[in-house]
Amino acid sequence: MLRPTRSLSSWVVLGSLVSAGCGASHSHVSWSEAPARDEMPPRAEAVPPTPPPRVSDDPKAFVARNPNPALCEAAARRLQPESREEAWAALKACIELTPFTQLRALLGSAWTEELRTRPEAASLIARVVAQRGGSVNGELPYLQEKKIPIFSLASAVDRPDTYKGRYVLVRAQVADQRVEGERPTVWLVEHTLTSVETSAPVGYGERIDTTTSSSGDLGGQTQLTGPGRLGGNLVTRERSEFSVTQRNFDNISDETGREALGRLAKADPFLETRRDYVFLARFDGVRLTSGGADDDTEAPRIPVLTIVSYHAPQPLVVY
Amino acid sequence: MKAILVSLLLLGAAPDSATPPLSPDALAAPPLADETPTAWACTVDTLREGKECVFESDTVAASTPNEQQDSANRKLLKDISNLLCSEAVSNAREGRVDAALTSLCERRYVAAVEQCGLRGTAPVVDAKGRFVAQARACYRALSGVLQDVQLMASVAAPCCECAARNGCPGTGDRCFADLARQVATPATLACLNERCESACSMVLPSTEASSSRTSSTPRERASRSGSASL
Repeated sequence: MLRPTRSLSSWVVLGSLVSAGCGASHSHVSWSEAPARDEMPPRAEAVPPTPPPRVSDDPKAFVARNPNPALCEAAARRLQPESREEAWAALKACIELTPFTQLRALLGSAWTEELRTRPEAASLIARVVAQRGGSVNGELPYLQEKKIPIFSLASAVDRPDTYKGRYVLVRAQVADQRVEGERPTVWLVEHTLTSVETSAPVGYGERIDTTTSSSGDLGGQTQLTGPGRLGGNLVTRERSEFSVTQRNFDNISDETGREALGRLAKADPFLETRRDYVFLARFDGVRLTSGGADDDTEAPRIPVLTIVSYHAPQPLVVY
Repeated sequence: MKAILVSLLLLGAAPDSATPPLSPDALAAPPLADETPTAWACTVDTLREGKECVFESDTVAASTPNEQQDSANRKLLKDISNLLCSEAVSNAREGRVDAALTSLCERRYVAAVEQCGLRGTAPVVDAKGRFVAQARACYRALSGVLQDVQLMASVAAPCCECAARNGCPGTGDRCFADLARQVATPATLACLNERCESACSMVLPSTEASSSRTSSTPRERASRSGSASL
């Protein structure tokens, strides 16, 4: 489209007159048409777009660009050829800042080496298990299938020497706590998720009760039997019900009967009693307790753990 | 020869390892167990308070018996018998001192301490007062004495004092023991029923039940005889 061309010089003169009569120190906004091409200032060279900040510097920005957990993990994986540090920082951001439940992606071959060598890898796995609902018994077989050395409390208690010093994953509640010096030790009661079926009525229901009652009485006399009476009573009851119910399956957290002592690094007010948590801990062996049988060989033993991290499980379980 | 020396020098100059050392928290790191005792270790305090605890200590048991250590173990626990017994009785009797019961407690406690020598294979408690795992039987025996005495003090003591005042049979230590285990003789029970009913109401639970049982029998008989007459 062609624009009407005007003489620029008249506008410049007018502008300079106006500006000459105004000595105030405020700024001016004056309209002018697009200058002729030959009078334009030299065009600045195109500045390359600034690269996004490093993930390790601003993990929230990375998650803001990749809010979907699955896509976030994929984006983190794409960073691996450039920098393994950045890729790991991105994966951590995905797990910590999104509702990340992609356990299979986390345990995929792309992250095997990082999971093996990074100090926080075990805690990240525990966190994902909690975010998937904390069905520890349901997730541990998959971890072991992938040769992730995190085990159950039951296995550790059965063979303490084999599992001493290894990681265990426990869903448990804190029952009690004692402190010696700075280090508290909590009494843990292991829990597991079990499925419970319930039936809830849905919509309308019908109930029909019918009662029929008949009675009779007959009196008379025959030549053969003489006087006599015959009586009877017949009652019929019928009941029919019609209702629509829906079967629901709820996950209920229930005690397994196993208990453990868990050492904490320091007192933690956020670790509440009578609430389920997924604990990642080191198994420190078993100890004799003061209760139970008199005979030491029959005496109950309790496992001792060093708690590494704990995570509140999500109420919805991912299968 | 020179070539070997040069290669050795090169090997020596090379960095120890190209990869950074593995963190002990890494999944690939070797197992790492903390063997130190927890805050739930069995101590004299848990013994006094009758609390659940676990046996863990810093002491490692020796394999050879040591007579000196054996007697030191027993002496250590004997020395605190009076403290533990008077506290157990006083706590159960809401601060009241009971010399007879404390004396009974001490006699029983000292008898239980006999199994606390551990043949001298280890000190019975470590430097921080935690009972060693081998002392479990000893700990349980001492704990049993203190718990029995507390039961006697809270349940049987008022009754036994009344029984002694009123000349009932089976008084003294025997009264405490029998009443705590509810195995008093019929003569003692009858006497307590008659002369110390209010003081012994807690240790004579069967009086109402037995009386109702005895009163129900004639009624049953009466009803049976009634039906027979019809």
